[in-house]
Amino acid sequence: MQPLRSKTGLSIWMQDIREIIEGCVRGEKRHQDALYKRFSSLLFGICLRYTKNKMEAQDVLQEVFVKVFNHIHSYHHDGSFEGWMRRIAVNTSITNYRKNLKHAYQEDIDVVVAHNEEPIHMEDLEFTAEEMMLCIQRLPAGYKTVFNLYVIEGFMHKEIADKLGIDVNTSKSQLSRAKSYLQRELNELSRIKQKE
Amino acid sequence: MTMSDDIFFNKVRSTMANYSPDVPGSVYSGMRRKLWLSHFVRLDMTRFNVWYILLIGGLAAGSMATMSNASSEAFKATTYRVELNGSPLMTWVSPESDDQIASSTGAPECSSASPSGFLKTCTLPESTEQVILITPLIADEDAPESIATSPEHKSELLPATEVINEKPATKTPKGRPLKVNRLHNKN
Repeated sequence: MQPLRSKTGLSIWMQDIREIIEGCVRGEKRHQDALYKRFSSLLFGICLRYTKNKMEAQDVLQEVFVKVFNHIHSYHHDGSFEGWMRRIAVNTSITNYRKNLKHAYQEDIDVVVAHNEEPIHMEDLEFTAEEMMLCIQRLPAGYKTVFNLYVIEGFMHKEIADKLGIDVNTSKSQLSRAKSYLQRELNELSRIKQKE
Repeated sequence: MTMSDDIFFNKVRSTMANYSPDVPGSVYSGMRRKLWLSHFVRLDMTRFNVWYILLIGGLAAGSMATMSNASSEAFKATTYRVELNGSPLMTWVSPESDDQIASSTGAPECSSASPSGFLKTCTLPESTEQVILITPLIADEDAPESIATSPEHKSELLPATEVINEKPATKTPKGRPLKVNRLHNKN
């Protein structure tokens, strides 16, 4: 369910969400279900961007909602509730990435090989969100996390370095490699689409 | 033309903004299960959780241990009595302490409870309990008639016929069958 854009509609939306939040604070299942229905798709999109596949994203999404319901009393209506939930989704995804760090080494070697290819020309290329998502998901975990944090969430390299426990220069180089990798993947995808 | 970083990033950002794919239905039930589990293991006095179960389990184990100790003490103090056809054959009183054992080691005072001396009543020194002893009947093959023809033995052993017949394999320490059985078979 998308929020209404008119002034009256927005006020109804805000009032509605406040009631839902208060119900969730009281632990009422009805309001928890309402919150889940309203935000699960949006948060699932975030989780998908940070994970390898849908199954992993589903697990992370479940963790996100458990955290939301367990800590919803700490939300004091002083900022965007959606932003608050987004932050929880991103932080949970980063936690999940850190848990899976042991698999990152092999993926980095693959990317080094891919990095030595020619620059990609991508004028007039259009992609759907699903296509873009598939390409992002193919990124190695480290590159994907830095790319998402920088490009989509809007963090600076210093903040990313602090969040991931890496050097600022590492963050910059991983972003550069992620961009090259993603451009290559998108170019490949556009070639396939043109053939079809 | 190669896309600059900003153009490329803006293109990705605009494409992925508010991307909301459908969520499979199984995710909700999994989330509910995880939520219940998180409540269950969380220390929260207002909810039934694992801490209550641990508390109840601990109390149960404690009470079981206490009851076990009490029954063990009661077992030590139990008096066992063996009866044959309603009359007590022997009594065993478990000693409660080493002092009691020490004080009970004196020679018992016995008196015959039957004319033939088959049953004896013994009293340990410094004790009020009477212990009835059965003198084992060891048949002598050289003088079989000495028991069989004795009227005293007949009167004493008749009430115990049924019990003795239930265990016909009763033997003397040498492995020879008791002649008591033969005696009752005759009668």
